[in-house]
Order: sequence, then C-alpha cells, then structure tokens
Amino acid sequence: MKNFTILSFAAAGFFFFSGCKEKPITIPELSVGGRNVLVEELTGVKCQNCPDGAALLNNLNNQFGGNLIVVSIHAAGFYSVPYSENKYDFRTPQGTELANFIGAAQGFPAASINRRLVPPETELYLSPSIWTGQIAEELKEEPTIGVFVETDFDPVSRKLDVAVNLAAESVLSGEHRLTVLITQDSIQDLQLVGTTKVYDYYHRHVLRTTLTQPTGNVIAETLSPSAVVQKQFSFVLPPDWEEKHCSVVAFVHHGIDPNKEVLQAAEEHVMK
Amino acid sequence: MKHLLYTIALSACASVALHAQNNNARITGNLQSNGNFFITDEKIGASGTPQYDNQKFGAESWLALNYSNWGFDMGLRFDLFNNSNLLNPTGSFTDEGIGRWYVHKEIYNFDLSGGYLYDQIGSGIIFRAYEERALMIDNALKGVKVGYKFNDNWKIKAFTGRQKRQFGTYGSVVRGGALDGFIRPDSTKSFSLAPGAGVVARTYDDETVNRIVNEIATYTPQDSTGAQYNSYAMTLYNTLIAGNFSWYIEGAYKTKDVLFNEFEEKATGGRGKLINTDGYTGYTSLTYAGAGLGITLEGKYTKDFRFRTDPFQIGVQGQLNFLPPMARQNTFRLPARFSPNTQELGEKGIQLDARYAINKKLSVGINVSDIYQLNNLSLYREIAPEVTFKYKRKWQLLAGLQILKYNIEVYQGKEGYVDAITPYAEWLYKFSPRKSLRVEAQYLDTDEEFGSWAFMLAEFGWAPHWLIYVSDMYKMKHDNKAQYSEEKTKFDGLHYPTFGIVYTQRANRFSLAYVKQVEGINCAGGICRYEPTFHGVRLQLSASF
Repeated sequence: MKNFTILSFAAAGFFFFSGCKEKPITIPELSVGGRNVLVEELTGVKCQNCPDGAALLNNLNNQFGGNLIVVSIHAAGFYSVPYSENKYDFRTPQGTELANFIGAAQGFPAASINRRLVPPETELYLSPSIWTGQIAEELKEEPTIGVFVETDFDPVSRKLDVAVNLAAESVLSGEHRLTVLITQDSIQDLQLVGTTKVYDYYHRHVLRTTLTQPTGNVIAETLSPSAVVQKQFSFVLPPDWEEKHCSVVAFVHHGIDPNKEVLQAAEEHVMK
Repeated sequence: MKHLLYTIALSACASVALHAQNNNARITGNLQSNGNFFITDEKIGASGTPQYDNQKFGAESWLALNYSNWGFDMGLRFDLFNNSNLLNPTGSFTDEGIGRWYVHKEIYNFDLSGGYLYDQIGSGIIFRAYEERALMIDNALKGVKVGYKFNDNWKIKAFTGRQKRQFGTYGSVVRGGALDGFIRPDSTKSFSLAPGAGVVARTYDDETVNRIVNEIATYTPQDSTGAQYNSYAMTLYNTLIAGNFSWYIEGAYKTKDVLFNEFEEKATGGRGKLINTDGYTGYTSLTYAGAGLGITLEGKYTKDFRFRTDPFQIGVQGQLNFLPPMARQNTFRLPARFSPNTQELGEKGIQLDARYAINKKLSVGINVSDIYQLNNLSLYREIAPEVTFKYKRKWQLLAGLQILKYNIEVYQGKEGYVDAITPYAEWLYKFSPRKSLRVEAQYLDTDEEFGSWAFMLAEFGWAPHWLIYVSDMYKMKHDNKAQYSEEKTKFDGLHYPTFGIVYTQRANRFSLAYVKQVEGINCAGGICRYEPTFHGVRLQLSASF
C-alpha cells in the first residue's frame, strides 16, 4: 500500500512537472502586408466605455496608418439614442441594417475586424481586448483582390462621383459583394465619457450613409486577373456634412452566412 | 457530431425506458425553464436590445435526466436558449443541444468519470468547474477524471479536459490533480485536520498563443512581454476543527501566466494590455460556533491571480478558478444594489460575521466587510448590524442597517464612491400555520449614482401551494433637480412595480410575474455582471422528479 502511494505521487509529480520547461515563444516583428483591415465599430453617444474603444482605435490608426480603416456605426441600441442636447442623431437606417447584417454584439464597444469570425468567439463583433491582436493578424496577409477608389467632388453642386475598381489577383469563385459607404470624421458633439457628458467630444469615422445596399451589392461579374471590374456611384452630400472630413470607404466581402469576411478595403477622402 | 450526440441521447433514453422497471435502477431529473416577454419602455431604458425591438420573447430551459444502474451513474442534460439575453444582457443568443452528459463508475477503490464534469480543488482557488445559471456560467470540464481512495480518510484524483463554452469547448487543455485527507488522532475528541494539496496546469492552444503573439507584436518595447504555453497553479489547504472552532486556510501560487490587465496603461496611451506575470493568493476563515454565538472571520490577499482558459476572456466567461468573495451575499433588494466584484488582479480584504442569540426571542448580528486594492485604495466597506425578534410563533421581525462605501469607479466604471445608508426591515406574520404575510421595507439613502431609492414588498403565503407578492421600487426625486446632470436624475420619480404569483406542488414550482426592474449589477459569489433594465412578464418553471 505504501509503495503504491509513493508510486502514485511520483507519477503525479512526473505528470505535472516533467514538462515545465518549455521552448520560449518568439514574438515576431510586426509585419504589414498589402492588405488593409476594416474595423466596423459599434458605438453610441450614451455608451460610457465607447470613448476608450475609440481611443484604442485611434492609437492603432496612428500605428498602422493607411492600412487600418475604421467605420464607427452608431447602432448600439439604447446607447446610440441621442440625448436631447445632442446636435446630431448619428443613427441611420443603413447603419442599423449594416450592423444587424454583421451580427450581435456581446456588449459595447464592439468591433468586427474584417468581419472575421475568431474562434472561440461566436460573434463577428469582438470585445476591445481582442482588437489589437486580430488587426495584427489580418495585417500580415496579402489581399486576394485590389480595391481602388477614385473620388470627384464638385463643391458647388456638392455632387460626389465615386469610381471603385476591383482587380482580382486570381479567379475568385463564390459570391462576392461590394459595399461602399461614406464616413465623416471629427464631428464635435455630446458623448458620455464615463459618467461625464462631454459636449465637445470629437466623434471619429462616423458612418453617414451607404452608396450600395448596406448588406453589399452582389458583384455579378467574374472576378479574375484578366479584367478590372469598375463600379460607379453618385451622391449629393447634404449641406451639414463637412466635405473635408468625409471619406469614401469601399470593400469587397463575402455575403452569405456564416462567412462575411472582408477580402480587401480601401478609403479615399472626398476632397483630395 | 451533433447527430452522434442526439443518437447517444436517444439510445440512453431508450435504454432507460427498457430498464426502468429494474429494481436497482433509479432515474431522477429536473427541469428549469424561464420565459421572458419583453415590453418596451424607453423611459426606463427598456429598449434598444433585440428582444425589446423585434423578438419580444426570450427563453431558457435545462432538462436533466440522471440514471443509475449496475453501479453506473450517467446523465444527460438538454439545454435550450431561444432569443435569450442570459449570455449577453444586451444581445440575443439562440442555440440548443446537449449541454451536458456524463458517465460515472466506481470500481473497487477507483472512481472514474467522463463527460462534462463539475468539481473543485480546495475552496476553488486554483480550480472550480461549476454552474451558475443566473449568470450563464457553466464552466464544466469536458474530460475525464480518475480518483482513487487509499482508505476512508485519504483520496487522490486527477483530471484532464477542456472547459465548456456554451455548446463547444475552449481550445486550451487543462489538467490537474488533488490529494485530500482527514486526520483524527483521537476519535473521542473533537479535533481533526483535513489537509489537501492540488495542482492545475493549463496549456494554451496554438490559436490562443497565435492571438497572444499577434497582440504583443503590436506593443512598443516598453509594453512588450514574453509568453508561454503552460502555466501551473498549486495550492495547499487545511481545515482544522478543535472543539467549537473551525479554521480553514489555503495558499496558492501560480507560475508566469499571460493575463489581460484592463487597468494597465500602455506606453502609447490607452488602458488594457497583456502582461506576463506570476501570482499568488491566500485565504483563511476562522469560525466559532457554540452557546448561541456564531462568529466567522475571513481574510484574503490576492495578487495577479486571474486564471483563465483564454486570456482575452475578461467577463464572467472562461474562468478556471473561483476566488472566495469578501462580502456577504445580500438578499434584500436595496442592500444588494451595490455588490463588489472579486478583483482577480489584486485585492486584500477581511470580513467578520457574528450572530448571537440573546434568548429564544431575540438575536443580534453584525457583518463587517472591508476590501482594498493592494495599493490601499479602498474598494468596499460594509457595516451591517441586524436584530431579529420572534414573538411566540405569531410574528417575527428582522431589522438591519447597511452602512456602505462602494468604489463605483473600479466596480462599474462610473465616477467616485457611493456612500449609502440603507435601513431595512422584514416582518413575517402568521395568521395560521398555513397563512402568512411577509412585508419588506428598505430605503437606500445616497447622493451618489442616481440618488436614493425606496422599496416595499408584501408577500402573502398560503401553504403549501400559493404565494402572491407585490412590490415597488421607487426612485426618490432630487430636491433641486436643476443642479444635477440629466444622467443622475433620469430615473427620478419612476416606479418599478412587480407583482406575481407562485404555485408550488411538492418539488415543482411555477411562477408568473409582471416585472419592472432597474438596471444594476447582478452578483453570485463575488462574480458580477451588468444587467440592463427589465420590463415585461416573466414565467418560471422548476420541477424535480
């Protein structure tokens, strides 16, 4: 009996501690390929923690420059309902439809990163603790399609013409969609920060409207290296949208559940 | 895989049906179902979630069947979530399937189990697989466990598996073991020791490590940190019983582990980053019970003892361990409004709970809880004296006062502290052995958060079947509303009435209630999460057979 006990302890000890010494994990240098990363952030003026999320994205934007494209969607339910003191209501039917198309969030702020499902998460909207790592992961990849946006804005008529060129690197099979939308940066308006109402808060990358269906327009043409697909859009900017802070964002993505992954995104200012 | 599970489930049921008449066979089970009808009320913030906007109804249900025969114990549980806000209070979750199955058999001194297992080591400080449905915690370990009994007093166990996540599992592998003993030198004396020791190791899967590496790769050199696949947590514990005294002590250490620290500042600005550090915790509880007096004194010190199956899980999900709370679980509505969440990254605290029965009619008690961050920042202080008076068997009065200091900045991300004084009383009057009336009254007096609240409840019981209750929580108006922010006064003058009926038949309980409930923090055992406002009709059914 005594021998058995000793043997049990020895086996247990071996079981647990024999593998304590492990090969150290190497942290690689951050590599940035040609792929841009689209971050669709769910936010709201009454969401007290959302400014922390916006600050994190702002830091990452500074770090990754043009490779990171942020769209802030004010469709966080109750948290996006404006206060009576708000100058603007950032909610739009298109924003709500787009947000619902992506899925459900498990709290706010939340963001989808290239609409990629990241196991073990069950939703495309991710909590801020995951954003940085997932953005870094996506940045490493090379795009399978090039997305190029050209804008032409007439300040008098306020008409904006947009041309989106799609150049596939290889033949892409399956359904692909194109979503084109307009964001406006640096809008000063009330935001709840913690428990304080900040009246001159700068709202970044606010989704204003979509030029396609919010769920994306299905691309009927074959996406192959032999031909560039061009799509054109026109839109008249409302007078209260400051054109110098407006941008056009275009991206190609899958559209059928569960894979809604964004293959490539591009952003271009309305005013060059 | 799902089809395979259903096939197994059906086979098990068929087998149960075939053998249920066997004399040795024993079948038990239970059912718990919740149904919520959501009624939009924008004034109180009951809007903006999928349930209020579109779905209008959400339900959860758990049906468990346990079968014992031929020395085997086996069980199966069907879980259902339909547009449920239990997983995410502001979202909607729909899925159904086999939530748990297990097989257990004792062979001589061996104890073998497989499937989804619930277990813990010591007080759970390094490992606890458990279920807390109100918070949607189901940390079952999907794996195997082998136990061996050396004799009546000493046993050992070892297990390995992966933690359950809804209807799947997390990627990381967990393995562990514990040795538990019982020593009683003299069987004629009330002196015994129950020592134990345990170890748990967690190995991150490649996918988790990949995410960790990607995250750290974006850090500046000042923030950058190493990482490893394996972390080990070890614990030693003992319960000493001597006469009327009982003393539990446990100390645990965890080797370097990659944790997400939401309070840590990054060099580039912004809060929240991965850190790679070891941690430790100590917990002790000394109890005296005798001659009408009961005293429990507890103390705990924790540093970097977050132990998760995935470092990016920072809510109530993915916890491998359970740190005992240092504050009592308040059952009355208003004293429970500000409950402290156990701080895994660092806290120290003490709790004293004393009860003394002066005579058969009168007893007094006090609970004191004092919790700090490791830098001595005060987190939570509660002083709650209580008195209970029983008049024959006719009526009973409980009256208490809660004096509270609550760091709402740390616990809820709001500003500053809540200083509150809450007197509360409960009066139970028995008209007859079968008919009784229970009345609760509470008043939470504070200037912080939304201000003061009042609450009253009346509950009429007609044993053994019926219970009817009505309550109202009222937000007191601020005297000079103009000097406060809109956020602070948004609930002023609002009533949150609730009324319901409960029918009980033996071990079966059915309840139907109209509920209007203010947003707040819901806690169980120091594990807390935000619960949004609820307005609607709630149906609940629980049955055991």
